Amino acid sequence: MSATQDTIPYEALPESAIKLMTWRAWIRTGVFGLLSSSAATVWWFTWDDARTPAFWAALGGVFVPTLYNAIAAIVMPRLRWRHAKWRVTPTQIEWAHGVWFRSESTIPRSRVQHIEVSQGPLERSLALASLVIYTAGERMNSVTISGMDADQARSVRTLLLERISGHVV
Amino acid sequence: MSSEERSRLHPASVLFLFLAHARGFLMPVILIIAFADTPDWEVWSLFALIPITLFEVWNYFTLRYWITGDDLIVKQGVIIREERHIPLERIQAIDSTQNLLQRIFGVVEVRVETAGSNKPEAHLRVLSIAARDRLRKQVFQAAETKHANPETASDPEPAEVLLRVSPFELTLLGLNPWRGVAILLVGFGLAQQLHLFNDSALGEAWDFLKAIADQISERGFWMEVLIEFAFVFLILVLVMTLSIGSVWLSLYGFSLSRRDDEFVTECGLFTRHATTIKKDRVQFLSVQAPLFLRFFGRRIVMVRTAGSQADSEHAGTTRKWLTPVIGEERVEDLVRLFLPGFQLAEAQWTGLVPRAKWRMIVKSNLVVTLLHTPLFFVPQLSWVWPVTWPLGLMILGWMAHKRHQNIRWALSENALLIRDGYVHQRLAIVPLHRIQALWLRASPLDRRHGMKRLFVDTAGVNVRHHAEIPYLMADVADELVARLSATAEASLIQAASESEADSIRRNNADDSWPENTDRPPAFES
Repeated sequence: MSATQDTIPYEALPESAIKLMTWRAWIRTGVFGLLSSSAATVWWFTWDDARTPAFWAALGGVFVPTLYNAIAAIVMPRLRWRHAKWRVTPTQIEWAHGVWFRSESTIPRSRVQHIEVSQGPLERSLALASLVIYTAGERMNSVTISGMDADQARSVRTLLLERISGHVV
Repeated sequence: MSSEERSRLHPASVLFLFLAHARGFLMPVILIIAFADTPDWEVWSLFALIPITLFEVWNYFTLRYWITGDDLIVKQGVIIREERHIPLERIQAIDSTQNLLQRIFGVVEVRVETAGSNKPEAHLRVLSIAARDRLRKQVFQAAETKHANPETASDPEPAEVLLRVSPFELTLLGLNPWRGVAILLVGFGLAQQLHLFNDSALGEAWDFLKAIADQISERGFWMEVLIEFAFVFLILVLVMTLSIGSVWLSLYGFSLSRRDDEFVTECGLFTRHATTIKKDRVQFLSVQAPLFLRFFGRRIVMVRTAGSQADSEHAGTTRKWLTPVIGEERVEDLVRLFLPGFQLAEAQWTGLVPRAKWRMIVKSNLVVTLLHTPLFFVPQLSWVWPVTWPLGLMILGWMAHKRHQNIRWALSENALLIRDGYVHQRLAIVPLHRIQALWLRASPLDRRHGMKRLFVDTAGVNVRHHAEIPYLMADVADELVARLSATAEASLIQAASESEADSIRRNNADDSWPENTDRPPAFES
């Protein structure tokens, strides 16, 4: 551990990543709510004796998670953004994220197998990208940094790739 | 070193190929004929598959293999000719198995394995033993001569046998009763599947047992107790016999031998397995001490290698063993073969903080209580929980306490050592230059106590033993990660320079990438 390593600051994700996370959370909430409410409608109209306690219990069972998802969609993205940080030092790549369960991954730079920058439609519209770093490991054979600035993701990829090709003599 | 001469399969292959292909439809036919009343048209229609099978056998039997230049070439096919080129450099192992029938014919089934594919690259069913040895020699010599000077590439040294496991030692391994219980359960399930017990048979057995029980109870209380004990003893003997038998079946005559940097394990009572482990492919060593073996001062040593996926019955079972049983005092020597200078006695162990113990005890108490909650509400069973609940709390609490004592880690010059477990104790030995990634995780509870859990990731999947340290204090964990990551990086550079020196010695420059074997090939064939 050199002194320079500790002085390299962690980078946060761009603020537009909050938007990305919010969109994703709402889409998830919407899909779940739509599916469960259509299931409830089918139940209501196909069975004559739908008005049973079981029906109301099932309805509650889908309504509560939907409500939870909706609240999480409002609250969580900002918190998740606040806890997400990454940096690339001369020796390693670090990525920390998570609100309830905090996770910090460290990959020595020589262990990088290959790198992928991917952009979904949502990410493209916000000029964001996901950086996926692959190792030969078993449990953690890839680390995904989602919601990075697209240009920055590409430049990090170039930086890391230089090192890989530098090693293969 | 190219032998353009094309080799073919052993003539007995026809038999084994037919058996292998026919297993799919012959087994049901035999079972149905044996257990059902009369086979109907569905059964007979299965015989229509015979011509198809014969064609498959013919197709396979056209297989030819030979070595040209840098490739092992395997060609087969009647209508569609398939020719597969396997670069010799990528061949990691040539494994062979031999079942009882094959042993009678003196032939073996050979699998050519490469890194980065989870299926054997070529499957030669079957070759004569001489042909297998010739292939092995050709492949590894050709790969060697590419690097080495002509004089070192002469005949490989004869293999040196490092250890043999005696039947007595295997019996110790089989003393674990759970193995027997598992076999019994599987056998029971199988019997059920085949409808071996129909209702009347079960009823008859039940009546028979009841009659015996009645007879016994007439003879007085002590007689009853005695016979019940005898019954339990008989079941125990059965379970033990099954478990020891299964160990003997798969591991009889286990031997580990070495030729240069290759380690070969061989085992099996009827079906013999031979597996090659290359020294520089070992990612992770696992030393295990289950309760029964520990009692006799014995250990299990397993290795994890890259590339060879958990290919179920074949490679998986044999490759993971470095040895199924070994005396405690010889473990260090064995590990030293892979990690030069390894000294267990010199390890500076660090344990967990006392606070971790209380977390572990509370956790075990919660588990016991949760498991008991249904019992609290069943009036008929109200006598059970006052006994089992406090007993469970005490036993599991005690085990948590002991496990806390046993979890400890040490950082030696070239490896991270992690001990864990109380009943089943194990030691993970992770060579520092094999570390692929480090991962810290903190659950909400962990954060409340200022703790983190560390996962150390390496390549390879054979051994179900993960390197992880729970309940580390956050600052210790952070520092450990920083050190491990820095050492991993540095040791790789060192390893790189060593192998560079190696390759200069070998007059070969395209081999200096030290992690060659860890990396899946850029192109999958």
